[in-house]
Amino acid sequence: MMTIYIQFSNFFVCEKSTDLTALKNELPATVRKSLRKSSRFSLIAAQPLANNLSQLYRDEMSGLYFASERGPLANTEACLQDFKQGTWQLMPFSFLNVGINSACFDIAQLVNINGKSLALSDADQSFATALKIACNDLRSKTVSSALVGTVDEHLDQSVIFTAPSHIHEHSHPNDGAAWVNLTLNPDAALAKLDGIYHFPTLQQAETWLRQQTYDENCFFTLPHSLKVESLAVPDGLTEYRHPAAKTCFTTAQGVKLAAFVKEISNGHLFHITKGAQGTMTIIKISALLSTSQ
Amino acid sequence: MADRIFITSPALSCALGDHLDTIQHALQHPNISARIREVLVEKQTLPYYAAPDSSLDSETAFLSQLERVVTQTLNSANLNKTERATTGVFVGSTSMDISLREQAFLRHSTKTELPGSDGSNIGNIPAYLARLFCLGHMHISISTACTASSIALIEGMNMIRAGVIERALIVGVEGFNYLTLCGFDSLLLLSTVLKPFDKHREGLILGEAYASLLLEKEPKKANKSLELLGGAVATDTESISGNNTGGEIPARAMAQALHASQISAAEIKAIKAHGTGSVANDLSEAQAISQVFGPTLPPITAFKPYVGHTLGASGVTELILLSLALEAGFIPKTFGFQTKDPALKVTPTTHAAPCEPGAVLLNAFGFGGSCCSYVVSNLK
Repeated sequence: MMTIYIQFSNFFVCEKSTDLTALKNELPATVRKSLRKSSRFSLIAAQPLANNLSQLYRDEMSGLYFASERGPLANTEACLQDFKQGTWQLMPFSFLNVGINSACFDIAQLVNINGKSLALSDADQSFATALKIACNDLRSKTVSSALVGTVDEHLDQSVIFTAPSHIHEHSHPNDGAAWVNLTLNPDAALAKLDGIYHFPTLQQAETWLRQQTYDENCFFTLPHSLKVESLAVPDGLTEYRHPAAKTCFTTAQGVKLAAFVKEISNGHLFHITKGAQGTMTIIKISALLSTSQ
Repeated sequence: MADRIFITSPALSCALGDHLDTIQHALQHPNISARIREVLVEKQTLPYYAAPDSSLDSETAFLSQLERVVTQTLNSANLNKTERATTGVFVGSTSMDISLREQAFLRHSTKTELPGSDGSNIGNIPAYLARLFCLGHMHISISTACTASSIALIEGMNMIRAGVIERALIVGVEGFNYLTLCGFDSLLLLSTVLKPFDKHREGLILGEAYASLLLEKEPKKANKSLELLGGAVATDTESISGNNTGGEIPARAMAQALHASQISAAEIKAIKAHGTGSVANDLSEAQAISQVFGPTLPPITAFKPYVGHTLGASGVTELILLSLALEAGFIPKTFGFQTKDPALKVTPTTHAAPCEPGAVLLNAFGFGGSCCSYVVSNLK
């Protein structure tokens, strides 16, 4: 089995109140121009990449994998609110920006990827699934490198969309995005992706976790949908917490993984995700060197 | 050697009907005028290809049609509990469940969710189908606009070949909603008649479809009429709403699909074009086809004049239409095409042509620069 390495990792989080202008001002001037018609959702997605384009490994066979749990719901809500108020004439970009493929396009254009691109969702496992597909494509040589990202924004007080049960009235998650760049090249890699493991049930995932050996640098992350007390955590495994991971939905997991790779120089991460019907996926990652991007 | 992947157990509801026999008959005896409905939006009417039990008329149609096609597919495949548990769900759609939400909000000012969903997310449909039909651990929504269910097909194949799942349920779904109709109207892409590759083409007409099929390594049933050989995806970053009219990136997707399928352009017996009938996209696709195939082209057909542009569902919908035509032994004529465009090196089929056993290339292109091509082999 070919080993997959993480060459780049970055994340971005912002408050719900951070507006379009503020997000645009964070971008380099050249990027700002190309994203002038983009939505807030796209601009959040672009933040971790826009100032780091030279660090990304990509060529004409590179692939882009764009995950989101909820997508740009605010854009959809705005269009339907217009209908409700009797305005049926949409502006073209108001319509185009309702889909995650629009944000995926913005990123493909930003990083100049003409190979495979894919915008997908798999609920809480969206980011993990994007990683899984990217790894499969790298191993089958469908792509030469993969840029895998996740973005989500929370929608307060929606009259159309329901927040997941883990988002409570007094919980105000940040919006955010996270990206990792995968290759088969170990040179200067930040981390190694040791494996992606699937389990039909939580119990089988726990059994597998008990069979692993741990040292003092072994960490785990959990999705919002799984409380830490509901998992039998083996001795030696510590929850990896990061202040930026207040982000909502699947992107919180992406931020934790990206932060671990970016900031931890020596350690192993067991990135645990829970899918529909209680299935589990664990992604194991090993940090390779001390660095800060 | 990669596993062989067979396409089985199709089910479809679209403007041609909701039974495969009816749809096959309609392909052989097309009568376009009967299937287009007029939708009133403010002071204008916009044409729309509606399914027999349409979400245009009923709030329950979206879910009942979705469940009906998937039930037909799973019943036809006769999967037991263990087999269902190792079946992944891949849904391709442009508007996902907006049809449901829009109706609830505009008609009743309420929220609605698919039963059992924990909040609104774009992965609701595959998770809902997995819960309802006790399907396996991989549930993916593909949101790449008009290539969505084509890419769902390729990802299903890839995950079977990678050993992650045993088989894949591939669903293309596009229910009627005003958001999409008004959105396309805002882009000035709609027309009153669909004429792919015609000199006088002016745009597209949207359509509704619920389509479902299985990808399997070893089908239980003897019916192995189509094999999925391989596919490829490329991204054209020229414009969010259309490919470069030079056709470079769509040509790349086609060439890579042939390479992935280990087949040459000369071995392709027919092409199912994306053929939206829009000026720029047909030009781009025609350029791409001539770059890959040169001056000697196989028969080229386009299905959108039969069922409308069913957007994210068009991949699986048009694959099923193709399979029905091949099963009946013909490549359908491209309805609506009348006048050759001298700017295009492509002339689609003007009458139904007999088909030989062999490989067929299928194209799908979408907003966001998504270009997807794949090859199926007609085993009959």
